[in-house]
Amino acid sequence: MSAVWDYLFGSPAFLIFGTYTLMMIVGLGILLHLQLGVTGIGNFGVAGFWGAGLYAFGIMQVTYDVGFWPALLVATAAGGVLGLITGWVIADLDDDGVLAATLAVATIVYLAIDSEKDITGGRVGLGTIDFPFDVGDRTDLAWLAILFGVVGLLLWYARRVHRSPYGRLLIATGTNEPLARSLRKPVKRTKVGVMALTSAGMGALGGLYGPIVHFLFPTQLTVAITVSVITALVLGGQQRPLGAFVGALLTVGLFDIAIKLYVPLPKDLLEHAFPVTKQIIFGALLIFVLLFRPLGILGRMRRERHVKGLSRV
Amino acid sequence: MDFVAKAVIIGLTEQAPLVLAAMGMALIYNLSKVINVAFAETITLGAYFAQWVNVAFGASFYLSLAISGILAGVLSCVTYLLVFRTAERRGVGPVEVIIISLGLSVLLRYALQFVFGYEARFFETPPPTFMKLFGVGFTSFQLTAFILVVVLALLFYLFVQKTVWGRQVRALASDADLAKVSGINPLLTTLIMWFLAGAAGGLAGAFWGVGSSAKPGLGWDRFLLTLLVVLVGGARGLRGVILAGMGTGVLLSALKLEIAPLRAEIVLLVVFILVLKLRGNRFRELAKV
Repeated sequence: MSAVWDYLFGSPAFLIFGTYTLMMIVGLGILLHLQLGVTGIGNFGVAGFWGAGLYAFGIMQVTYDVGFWPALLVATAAGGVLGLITGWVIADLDDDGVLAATLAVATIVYLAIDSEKDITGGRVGLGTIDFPFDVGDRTDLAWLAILFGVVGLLLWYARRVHRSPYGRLLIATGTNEPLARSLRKPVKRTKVGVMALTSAGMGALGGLYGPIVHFLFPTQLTVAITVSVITALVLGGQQRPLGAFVGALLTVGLFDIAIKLYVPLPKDLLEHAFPVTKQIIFGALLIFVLLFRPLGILGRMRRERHVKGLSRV
Repeated sequence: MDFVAKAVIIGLTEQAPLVLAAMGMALIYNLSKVINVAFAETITLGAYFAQWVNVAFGASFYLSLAISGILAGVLSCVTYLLVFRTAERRGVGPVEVIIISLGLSVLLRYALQFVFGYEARFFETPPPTFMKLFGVGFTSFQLTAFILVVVLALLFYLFVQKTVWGRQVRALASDADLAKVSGINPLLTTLIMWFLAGAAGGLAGAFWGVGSSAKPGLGWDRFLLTLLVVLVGGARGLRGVILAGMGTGVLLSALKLEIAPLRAEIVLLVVFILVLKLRGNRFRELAKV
């Protein structure tokens, strides 16, 4: 029994860090579900909104010595304002324009962090950021519990949205925008609103990630984060709130926790071939799932299943 | 005057491959209505193919350039047949096609590291001679690259606008059903277009690669700018793409002469976002009429 316990939890620091990453991807995936799966906004700049929050939090804590809660508020606001501006830009654009605009916003965030060295530390980095409390050896575990709580809250909110009149408005906007417009639904305001709200959430998640890594670098904001989030959501099911959770378990959970911790790979393989193989599999998953099972593992949203059932009767 | 001359010369010599890449992407966009994110990897692989032929076989840069264009064109056709045609047949939506192309881009970018290695790879070319025009220095190689890009861009333009094949491509792009009824072979025409697009991307990649090195992120780093040039200039056809590409190069170099390079890139992206925003509104106003 003790041997099994040691095997599973023998490297608690690695396990906790892997779970942090998993929770971060799940949280971002739930928010992307509201944008892409429900409202039909293809946000390809997730890393930018998350990074804006991460750096806003870091700058407040390190450069201006602000406390945890105000810093987290600024991180949320940074994501929200960026989302508001992006929402305003993309509200009239087609899918190609949305791709270009969201990618451009993420690139601007990256370039701004890289160029404004006096405030962000540039490539040298920004730190150190500590946990807002100290409970000894269990501090990282307590932070993980908080992260679980935040992600749980996001999941609860996403499920509520599906059942609310607001959710119906989002679904109408995402499913058939011209029809929603002709029915006098405030499509533009809806898109701007959902972008602002969900990007604020991404900013907040970025802020919560600060104490985990302690030190911030622009290289943490690569497109790999966006790819991980999109892969998890697409694999799990982009139309379902739980889709990101299922997808993240099968991708990040498998690669960043299960294989890294429990498969004895040689160090050289772990450093080079493993991350490269992981990205190849993520890319292949995106292609195969969207070609052969476009709604992912969990399939259609419940509302559509219900409507289909009624139409059969 | 001095400032304008500098901006124009630097902009055109440094960003000439951008015009070529944007023309390639625009060909696919106009015909298939697909924004192919994996086009970034066609650019990257163009650089790798040229470097491989140049170093492994001791070929001159210009020979390796031609071979890399052909190989990148073939790769482009293969991706169409295996991925995009399947997506087309299965009726995959536009956002999903973009995500599929993102997946393909990630797959190719990392798979090529298993083939060519993780490190950047350098070309073996003779040292260039340095020249000056209006007080602006540039290498003989940059000048040759610029002239070649202008000639190739012109050839692409003439092919699409003036030849029978080009007319078939445009006919298929504007009305696929009518084109089929007129006896145009859609698969062959589409493949020709994807080949040309891939070749243009590969050549652009080779030009960029020889200026620095062939590395996995080469195409991705230039993808956004290429995409923005296509979206902004594409509304006015290939001529618009060429003008937008050249304008982007000149504007970027002008900005870099005045402010720090990274800030210049930020300003350029903001300008593009505003143009996209204005373009979207204008189309909606037109639609109302």
